[in-house]
Amino acid sequence: MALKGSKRKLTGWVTPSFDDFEVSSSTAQTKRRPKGSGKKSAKGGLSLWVDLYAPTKRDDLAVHKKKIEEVETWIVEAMSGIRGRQFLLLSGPSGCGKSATMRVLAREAGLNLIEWINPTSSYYVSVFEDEESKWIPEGYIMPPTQIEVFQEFFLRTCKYSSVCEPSKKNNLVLIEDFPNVFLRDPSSLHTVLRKFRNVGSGLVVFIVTDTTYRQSSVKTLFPADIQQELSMIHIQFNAIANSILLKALNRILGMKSMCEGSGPIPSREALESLIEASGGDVRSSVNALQFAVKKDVRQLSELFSGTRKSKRLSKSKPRNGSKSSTVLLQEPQGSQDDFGGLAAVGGKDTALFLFRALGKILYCKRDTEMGIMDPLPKHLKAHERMPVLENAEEVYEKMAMGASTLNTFLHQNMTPFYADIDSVSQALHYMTDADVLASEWTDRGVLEDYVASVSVRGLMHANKGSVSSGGLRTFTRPQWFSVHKQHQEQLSALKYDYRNSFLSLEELTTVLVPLKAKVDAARGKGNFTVTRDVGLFTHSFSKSTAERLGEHDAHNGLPEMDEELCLGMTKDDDEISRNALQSNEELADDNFSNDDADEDFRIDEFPDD
Amino acid sequence: MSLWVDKYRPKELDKLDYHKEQASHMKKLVESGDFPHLLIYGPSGAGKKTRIMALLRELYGPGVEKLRIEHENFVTPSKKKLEIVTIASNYHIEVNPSDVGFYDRVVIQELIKNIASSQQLDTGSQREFKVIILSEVDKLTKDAQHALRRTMEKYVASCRLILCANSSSKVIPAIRSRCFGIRVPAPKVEEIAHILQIICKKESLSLPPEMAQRIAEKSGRNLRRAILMCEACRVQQYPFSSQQKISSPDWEVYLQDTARRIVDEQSPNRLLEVRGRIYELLTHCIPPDVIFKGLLKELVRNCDGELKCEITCLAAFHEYRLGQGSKAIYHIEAFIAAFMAVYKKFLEESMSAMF
Repeated sequence: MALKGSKRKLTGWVTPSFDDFEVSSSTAQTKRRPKGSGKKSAKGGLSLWVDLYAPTKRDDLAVHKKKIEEVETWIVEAMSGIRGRQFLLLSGPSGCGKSATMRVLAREAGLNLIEWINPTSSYYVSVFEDEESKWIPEGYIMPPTQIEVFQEFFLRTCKYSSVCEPSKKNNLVLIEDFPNVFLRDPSSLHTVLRKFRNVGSGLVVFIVTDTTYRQSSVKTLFPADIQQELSMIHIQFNAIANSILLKALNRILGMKSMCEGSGPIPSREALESLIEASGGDVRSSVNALQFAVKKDVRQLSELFSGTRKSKRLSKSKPRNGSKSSTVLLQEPQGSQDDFGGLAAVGGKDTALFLFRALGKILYCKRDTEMGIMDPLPKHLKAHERMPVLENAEEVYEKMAMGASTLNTFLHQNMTPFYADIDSVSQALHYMTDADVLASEWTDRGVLEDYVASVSVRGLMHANKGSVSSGGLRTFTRPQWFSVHKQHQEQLSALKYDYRNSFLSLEELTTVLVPLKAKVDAARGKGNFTVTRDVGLFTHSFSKSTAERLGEHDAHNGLPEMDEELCLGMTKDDDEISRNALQSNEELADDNFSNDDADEDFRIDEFPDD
Repeated sequence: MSLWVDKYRPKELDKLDYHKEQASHMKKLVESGDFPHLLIYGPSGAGKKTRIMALLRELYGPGVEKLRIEHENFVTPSKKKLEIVTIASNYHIEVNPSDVGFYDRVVIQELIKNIASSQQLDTGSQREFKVIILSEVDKLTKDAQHALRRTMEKYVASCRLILCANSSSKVIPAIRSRCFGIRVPAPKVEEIAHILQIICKKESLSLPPEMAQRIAEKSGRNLRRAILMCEACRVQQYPFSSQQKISSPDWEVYLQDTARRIVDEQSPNRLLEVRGRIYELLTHCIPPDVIFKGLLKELVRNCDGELKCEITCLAAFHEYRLGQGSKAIYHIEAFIAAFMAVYKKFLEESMSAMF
């Protein structure tokens, strides 16, 4: 917007604040999509199918009906002017149709959709923000900051309806592309929103994509209290179920053959394996389809499924060559855990949520049907184990988390998974090995992978699998960080308090402070001082219950060597309990049944019909 | 109201209560008005700092007791800013370089350079050198110790160093040979008991001799600890009775209790419980190696003679690894788990032997 505006500055002195023509042409392609006309075939060779065959009506959307209805209800309510229905927040994994749904519904409701696009006008920063040459030429007007531009856009679009298209009454502002400032400093966004709430009348939709790594930006941008304050409606999209995705792909193929004549059509199996690989992402699967159809269709099935099969084969060969074919048969068709099963084309790198990864490592499921593959000699019998179902390194790689942070999570949750003290001791020994490796800071980058291998494999090896099911377990966040943080805080406070005593720290904390605390306490003074906190064990710190880990929680990116580690997260109680519930269900699937737990899980909320 | 430890700290070499011969040697040392670099070492609570201050007073007069706290700033070559607290009088400056951990080398070089480059103004009435006291020299990194060796030689004209350490074994030989070493041994139990009596007399309290003896024994020949314990007893109950319970620090009681729990039951659940207790100790700023020491002492006391060797071996192994690793809890817990496994096996074997 700003850039476009500045271009016009050259010709005229009145700057239009927003220009619907350009915005709509650049962003809302959905509107202009010709319906199977000749126009498309002319373009067909050039543009992406994702844009070309984007859904234009509700039935085309590859989103579950209930979700569409939810969004529609919001639009209707918001248009009818119900107070407190100004904001909508859509979140979900990438390519699950959030934006497409919004576009289609906005069009159907006759709303004027305006999307914010980050301006690229911040070039001046590099020129003038240099510390030494902070020189601004005379008459040069500093360009507005990103926040100012955004605020201007936001308030104006919300306040005034379009002049050019008077037929459409309301504006709907779509914000998907958050200005970077807000990611760094969410409070400035909140200020803008509060201002808008008092002034504006239009509808505002925020779209945030979930991520597995780090805390998703939903929580940083829109913490629960802000959502509450602005009475924001939050609708979560799920990854798209395979059957719906298949329909969508078939629709696209149909449309394509309508306007381009019949081309090569991939087989149903090929489509299925393509969908499998995409991990519920429409965009990537459509892209993959387009790419694939360009090639010879006969190769298609190999392209998507071939790699997977060969990988399975090669994986099982070292175990026992003769049995590999049976292994293949035993693998359930729809097994979702296929780490090796990424297709060569369009495979989406489905990262694991921390919760599932911990489960995979700690439950350590073994292949009981296969039996022991390589019997060990007698004196090593104690180390004999059934083959493990999960590959330690792949689990680690999928997790997008540093090895030593992973270790703290494992350590926090490992103990109940071992039947006797012997195996715990063994497992802990591996953890210390990993810790020593991890402290080798000069080669951390190289060693990181080995650290994870040592700890994960060590834990798996020590788990003899004899532990009784013991019901469902919950995972908690590691206490170590809070303990460590508290330790540091207390220590620096102590150092400050006793800065003129020059004792060694050990002498200070083990002799002077505890005894002084006693003296002070008996004299009835020194309440609420650090001395008392540290010296006496009357009130404890670490009793604060360890925070439970939710199913979709990501680790919120702690820097690993930074000494000021903290895990300061606040969450709704509702959310915790809901997460726990969901996760328990999932664990139950994981633990007790070997069927396609994941498949069920993905579509459990909205079974496709 | 200050603690007895500070209140009754002797200020002059003549007033020291024990190692009197050493005190007279030190007095002779400074009588000439000059002295070499000193390395004063001995266990904590033996009176090293007291002797250093008394020595300085002998040298400069009571002016050294006017102390001020200063914050010195340094910039490392990697542009990291460091701040360190120093205590200084007009004649000396005291600093603990290991406060800044890894960057202690920078502190040593910069600080000594700063101080040594400024001459004393009035050499007539004062000495022509300043004194720098470096505490916890044995905690310095090797880098810093080597840097110290160089600076010691370079600035010997304008300043003297007094190094203070718990043990001379962790000070590199190059430094040891450049210093005049003075060992301050821990006071004997009788000496401690005697000092406690003196203090109580000054406080006009009557301390039963048996009680003084018990406190002295329990203090582990750490005078500071003994005096603090005595004061804690005083505020808890007075007049003293000879049967009075001597209060030891809370963390020791807690640690003993933890050790008892470990011996009581060996199971993953108990291990979890113990982990919570270890976390508790760590949040109370008890250093991990002290936890190791305390646990080992208690566990060894509770177990059979056969196991003692094995368990000490385990503790040594894990404590060494603690130094190499970064997260203390793994190592402490691994040691506890290993102890539990060994102890349980032993119990089972002895049970089966019995029947």
